[in-house]
Amino acid sequence: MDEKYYIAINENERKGPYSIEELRLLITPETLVWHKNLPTWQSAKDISELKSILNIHQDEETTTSLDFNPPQSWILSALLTFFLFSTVLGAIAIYFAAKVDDAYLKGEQNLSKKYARLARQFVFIGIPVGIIIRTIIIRIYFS
Amino acid sequence: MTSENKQYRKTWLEESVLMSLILPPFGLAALFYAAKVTPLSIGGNKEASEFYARKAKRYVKIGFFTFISLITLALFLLAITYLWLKIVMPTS
Repeated sequence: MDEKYYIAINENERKGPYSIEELRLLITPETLVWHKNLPTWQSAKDISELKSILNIHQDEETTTSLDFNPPQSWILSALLTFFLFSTVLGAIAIYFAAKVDDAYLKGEQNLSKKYARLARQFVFIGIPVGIIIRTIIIRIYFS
Repeated sequence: MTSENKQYRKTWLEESVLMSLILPPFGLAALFYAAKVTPLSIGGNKEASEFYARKAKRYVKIGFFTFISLITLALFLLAITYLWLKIVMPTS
């Protein structure tokens, strides 16, 4: 565990020596690493001693990916409303659904939720309106 | 470590475009998310990029299986109609 590791920054640049603890913040699974007992440079993920610190990185990534959780955008429902039920109300729903993620990415979470709510409302209005209009059209056509 | 070695996440863009031609609602929904993957990845927002890549993949898969189900249902109905015309209502 007292090994000193060197890492490859790019094709020509090498940095080190570092201890395992220091490597924790510097490497990814693909980073090329070498120490005196290794015959060649190897990816960090292939070195058994480094697997423990790489696992910590992966756990952190999993945790942070759970933090990115935008509201449901209703984009598929809006598209289905557009194609199957009501073109106009479906298009409005698509308009709001498309804004949900952009607002979330800009950090405007309340606005994002508002757009999601509007998209949902237009989907819920669009489906019955589409069914009613189609029923009326079919009745007129066959009467 | 070099730019040649840099691996980019699969965006599901091609599959989404193809799905848009087969089943537009599912394909367009997938396309909507797939189009966000690369810009977010380049911008350094890895978790958002991964999130949208996963969503694009999900919609492509849902679309694909829906398409298969619809084709199976259509063939089944076609077979039923054919049998009905041949057995229940023979022409001569």
